[in-house]
Amino acid sequence: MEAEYVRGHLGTMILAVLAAGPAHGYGIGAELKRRSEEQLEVLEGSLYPALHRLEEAGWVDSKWETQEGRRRRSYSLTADGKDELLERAAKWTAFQAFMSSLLEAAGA
Amino acid sequence: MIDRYLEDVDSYLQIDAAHRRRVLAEIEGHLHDAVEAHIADGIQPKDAMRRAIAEVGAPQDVAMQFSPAPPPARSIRGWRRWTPIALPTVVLAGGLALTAWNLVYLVQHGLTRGVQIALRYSLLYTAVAGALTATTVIAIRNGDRDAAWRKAAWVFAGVTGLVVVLSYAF
Repeated sequence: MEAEYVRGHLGTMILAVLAAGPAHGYGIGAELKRRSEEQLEVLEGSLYPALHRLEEAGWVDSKWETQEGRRRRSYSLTADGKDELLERAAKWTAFQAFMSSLLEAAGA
Repeated sequence: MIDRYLEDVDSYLQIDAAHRRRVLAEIEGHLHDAVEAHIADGIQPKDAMRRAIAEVGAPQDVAMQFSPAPPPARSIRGWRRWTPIALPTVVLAGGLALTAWNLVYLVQHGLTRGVQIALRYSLLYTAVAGALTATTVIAIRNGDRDAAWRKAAWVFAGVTGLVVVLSYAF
């Protein structure tokens, strides 16, 4: 999966992963890789800036937790984040339908 | 290896101290988790560390993503965009007035050696002020207000320098 595609949708991908429940940065990255069947080309260093931006926007909340003797920042979706995810999903579905009809018409 | 990587990231970060601590702690935790997972997959510890660091990305690239984007340049419209021209205009007006005064003196008293020198230097002064004022106007018209201010400063510095030189020449 090309990094170019991922870059513009990383925030949405993170919100979608967090919809299943709280997770820390490494866990989010691992889940994205798993769901893309290891096809996702995203530098894991991009996850944290994206998470911080989502938190600044109020769509994600975070707190330090200690698990197995190690401190990790756990992220969870806020109520606004759930609304944002639904809105993005609707936009994505509309865009996907448009692209599909365009490509079908082109015989691609 | 991880400590050195974190030091490198730290050296590129341009954020406040609290955010910096949080970012470094999160990346450190991420790297330890990744190393652990790679070792569990059968990779040697040193290679696991190298791989984990490569997966996070180059220190500069990681740090850059945390830096706030520079604010877009303000677009200044209306008469305010012409403010840099104020100083050059005053300087140029001074040069023109000096030249006019020398010409009046020339008409009234004829061409003496003193008038000749004064007129030559006042024309030179006016020419320098005029050229630099023109470049300031061009910079403003091109929309580069910062460059216009720089040009205005050159008008002032250039003409002031010329006045100092002329004062010694006389």
